[in-house]
Amino acid sequence: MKITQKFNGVYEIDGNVATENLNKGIKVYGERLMEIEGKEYRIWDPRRSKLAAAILNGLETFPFKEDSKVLYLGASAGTTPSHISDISKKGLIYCVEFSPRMMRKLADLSRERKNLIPILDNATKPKNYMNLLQKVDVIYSDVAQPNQSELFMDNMRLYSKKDGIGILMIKARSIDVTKAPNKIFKEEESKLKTHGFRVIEKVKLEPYEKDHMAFVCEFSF
Amino acid sequence: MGFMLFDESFTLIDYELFPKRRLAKEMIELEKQDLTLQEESILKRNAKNCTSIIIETNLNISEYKNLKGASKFKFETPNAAGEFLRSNMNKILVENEILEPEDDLNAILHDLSMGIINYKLKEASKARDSYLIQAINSIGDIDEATGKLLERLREWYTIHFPELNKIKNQEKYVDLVVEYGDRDSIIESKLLDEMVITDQNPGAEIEDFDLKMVKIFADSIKTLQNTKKSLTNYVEQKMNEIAPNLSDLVGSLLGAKLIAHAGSLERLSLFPSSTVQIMGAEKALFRHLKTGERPPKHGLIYQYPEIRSAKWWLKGKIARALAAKISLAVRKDVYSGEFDAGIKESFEKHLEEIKKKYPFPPRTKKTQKDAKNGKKKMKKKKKDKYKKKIGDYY
Ligand SMILES: C[S@@+](CC[C@H](N)C(=O)[O-])C[C@H]1O[C@@H](n2cnc3c(N)ncnc32)[C@H](O)[C@@H]1O
Repeated sequence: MKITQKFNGVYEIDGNVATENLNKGIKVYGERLMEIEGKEYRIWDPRRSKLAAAILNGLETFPFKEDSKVLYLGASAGTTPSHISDISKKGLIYCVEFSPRMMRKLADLSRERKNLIPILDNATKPKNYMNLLQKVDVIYSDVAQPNQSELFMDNMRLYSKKDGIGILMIKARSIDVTKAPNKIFKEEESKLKTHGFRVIEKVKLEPYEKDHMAFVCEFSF
Repeated sequence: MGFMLFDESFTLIDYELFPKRRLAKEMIELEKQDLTLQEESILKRNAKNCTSIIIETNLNISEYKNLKGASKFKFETPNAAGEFLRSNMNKILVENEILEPEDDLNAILHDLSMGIINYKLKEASKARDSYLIQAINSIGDIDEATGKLLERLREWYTIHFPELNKIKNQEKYVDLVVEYGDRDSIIESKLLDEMVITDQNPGAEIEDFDLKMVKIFADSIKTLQNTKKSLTNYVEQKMNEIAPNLSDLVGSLLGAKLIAHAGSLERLSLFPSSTVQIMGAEKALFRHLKTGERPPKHGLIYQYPEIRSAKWWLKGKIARALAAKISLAVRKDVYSGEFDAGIKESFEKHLEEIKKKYPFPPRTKKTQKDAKNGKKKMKKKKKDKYKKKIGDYY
């Protein structure tokens, strides 16, 4: 079995990506666990997590450090946040999710992972959670909503450090089902640009997710 | 965690913290748009020494207008001081000795967020249960209403087509009237059994003008029947989400009735199974408490098919066993939410054991006869035996 480090805290094992399990012996979403040289790894499923899909498709900018502060919008039941929790193990991941049904699972997960901060709130109203937040190094947004770019930018302006990085997962079909995905991606990109952001990198998520694109951005000043 | 006042050069001038033990509670108050004591006192204390105070807040500005010094308040959210604090939180807290060196801000924030989330989820599940409860109760209302309306429809339509009363299925009856209308068309539809039509009792002629009205009336019953179907479907889906184990054990409708009766899933989980067993039989319970009559053996859960169809001497035993499993299932739903197929399986096994163990009714006649002499004494004794306090149940 060959294991190589891909990014800080991200490993490649036999063509899979994986993170070292912060919570030994415990699976989060039925993922595979692997023991290598006394360390336990969780195989990161690209069909369940868009970040894993982006990594497998060649993502180059990887802003998550061991002590990063992260704001995660649309955390759902915590599939992707759990891997970020493995990576930024000494950091803090603020997880915003507005569905109580999802939040119940996320709260259970957070009970076991002390670097997760669950927030039951609406990401379109970022001021709502101002009392709990600090400025963050990374904002990761995956809400699959029509106004996903706007909400992402609002959160960036309010909570990103000046040199912070934003990762925006765009799902074309939740913006407009009738338009061609490529056209939507272009439109969203120019939206980001005209509002003061620079797109550092774009990664398509095919074949893991249809009509999805990962945008990595920063402030352009 | 509290309130901080900075000057123009971002030096901390004053602060007011929430008491540590009440942190989550206070933060929730704050979110509820209430001015807290701490905020009030830091503003009051500093208003006279400052030329103006720029407040960063999510509260409605009107909350502040009755405070002393309100004319000096300006509002800006976010403001520069807030930005400064969010950029340097750990440093500011440590430098001002608000945090002890051994305190871990991350851990404090985590614990705080867990306190808040637990509270919010509780509130959310109350709301969620309320939607379910309204839906299950409205099914009851619809049943009651359609029962009445159907009675009326039959009485009305019988004037024209008395033989159709042989159709006992209410939905079919309504459908025939709505779809086909008069007797001849219904017969032509060939949807009726031969048996129904005898020609002995053809009923009165009906004019279009009259028939039209009956059909409109029947149609509204049909609408209600369809609404009930949607509601049933809705309750089923909601129950699968809220209480998968309870649904699996007793079915979603009966499960929802139990939740409705208790007021919420969480309350239901707090009841001892002896209470679950008699829920819905409160009248009998109060009679029992007052007069010492036999306590009720089963309430709502009597609707459970295996109890309804059970032999009389088994009903109570099965009800007790079921009530115990219900308590177990509900607790699982509240505390883990994970589905566990084993609960129903083990109940079914228990059910078989009960049936096997008691194939025959207990021989009570003889014993009763023997006791007849001392009947009065017995009765008194019996009363005492059954006499319990309401606290034993709730
Ligand atoms: C595609 S899922 C995210 C999956 C997750 N990122 C993962 O990989 O584990 C989108 C989530 O965003 C949530 N969501 C959508 N709009 C939101 C909003 N305005 N505020 C907060 N959460 C939102 C939805 O409830 C849903 O759980």
